[in-house]
Amino acid sequence: MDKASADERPVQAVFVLRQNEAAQGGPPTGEETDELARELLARVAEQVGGQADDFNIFRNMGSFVVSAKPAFVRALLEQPEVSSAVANQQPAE
Amino acid sequence: MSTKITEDLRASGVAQVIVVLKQSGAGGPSERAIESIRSQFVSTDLTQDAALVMARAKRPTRKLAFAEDIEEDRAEAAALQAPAVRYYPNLGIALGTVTRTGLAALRRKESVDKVVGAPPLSLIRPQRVASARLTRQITWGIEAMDIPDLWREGLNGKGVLVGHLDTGVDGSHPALKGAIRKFAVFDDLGRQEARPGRPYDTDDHGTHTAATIAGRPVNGRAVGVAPAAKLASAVVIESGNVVARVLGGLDWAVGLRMRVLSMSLGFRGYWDDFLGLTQVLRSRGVLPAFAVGNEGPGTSRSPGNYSEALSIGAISERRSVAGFSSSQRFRRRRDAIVPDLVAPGVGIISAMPGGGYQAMDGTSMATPHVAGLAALLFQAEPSATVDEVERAIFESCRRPAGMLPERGRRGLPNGPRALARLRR
Repeated sequence: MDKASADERPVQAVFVLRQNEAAQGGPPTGEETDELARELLARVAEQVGGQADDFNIFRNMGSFVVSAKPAFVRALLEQPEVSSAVANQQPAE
Repeated sequence: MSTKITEDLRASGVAQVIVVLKQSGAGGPSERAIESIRSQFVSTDLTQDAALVMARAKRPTRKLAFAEDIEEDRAEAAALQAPAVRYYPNLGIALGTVTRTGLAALRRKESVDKVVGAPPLSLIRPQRVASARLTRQITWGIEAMDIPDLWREGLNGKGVLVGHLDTGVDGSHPALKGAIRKFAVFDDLGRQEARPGRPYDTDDHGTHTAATIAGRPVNGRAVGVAPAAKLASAVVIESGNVVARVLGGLDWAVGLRMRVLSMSLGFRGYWDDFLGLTQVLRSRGVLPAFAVGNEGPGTSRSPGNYSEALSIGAISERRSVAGFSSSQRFRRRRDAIVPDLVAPGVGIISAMPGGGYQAMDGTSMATPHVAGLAALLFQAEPSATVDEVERAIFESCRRPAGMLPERGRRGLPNGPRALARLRR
């Protein structure tokens, strides 16, 4: 990621949101997922001073994917609502 | 040195590696061994993958399989102290990013058994592919599970949607005519392509697995377990191994209200990248049927090796576990051995793109047999939960004589017994 930082190339990452404690540990609903993902993207955009290049929200899966500058992805990783993350592009076997 | 590590070091100066620690008795590697390698991993010069792993390690989910063995607080504290390396106590391995210097230092450590490149997400490729003629009226795999007894009771999968995330499917094959309710292709950000065209296969794997789930009889010959079930089939693998493509397919198929998911891809080893997603699937009422892998005893793939997945190994017509079929014991209280069961996966004849049939060997071939059985059970009892259908399948299993539980766990499922258990 630091390598990408040097020339500000975007990186892609998939984020899974935390389970909804109010819903007894179930995943967020489609609406909650959409709302929360957008809220996180807006919060991070304000923090780092720039938007994500692209994103896609998986409403049924409580998750989303982002293509953004490394600083944006790093800041997103730090958000408490994020349960886990994985690099989107996997190397060839 | 592993080719992958060499290439990564050459390309970026760092490489993501798996460090296998030497075992110290029954308890696995000692804490001292783990501590001794921690400093060799980089924490500032990170690749994208490693940075994400690092972040994930900072916030372990509450249901990590390995966390069942240790105090949660201790696990969390350990993870917090490990910004660039992640340790998997059940497996005695660590994942992290190293520079060339760090790699050399790791290799010199007494406590380190070996250092290998980290695995990618990939299709679980068949062990053998051969041209074949469909000579029997019903394939041996369908017979072995007494599926025709369920057909005679009027169960054929009608009204049940099965998710099929694979290399695609040749919708023009006679055995798949009318079997595909929806077809989709996903881009690298998991977005559905607007006009995917007629269902096609980027390989031949998807057509084979699709027809084993829901192939229609052709000239009185059957290859499909649930011959009236419908498929939500998507191209999510090959032409780039991209997590969001799989996720896009999962999201799409959940939205279509699939009841069963048949998937034959994964990461070699135990990686929790799909754990949260597998939990989401179950909570959305989807039974996740995953191939366990084709790398033999002592191995398995994720997500097939999660407690939350119905993991499937392969047996031959002689009812013995195939040599290639993965199996592994984990140090966790629930679901310690994978696969959960075994199903027909050797010499399986099913549809071939462009018409005709071919035989394949693999746990990918066993998985759609179980997905098809689950479709029949959901048709029989539409209000049944994922847990109920899974339990019925588990309780229907019998281990053939001579089959070790370490290899085949519960053994081979049986259609009529599963139905009886579900209705009990």
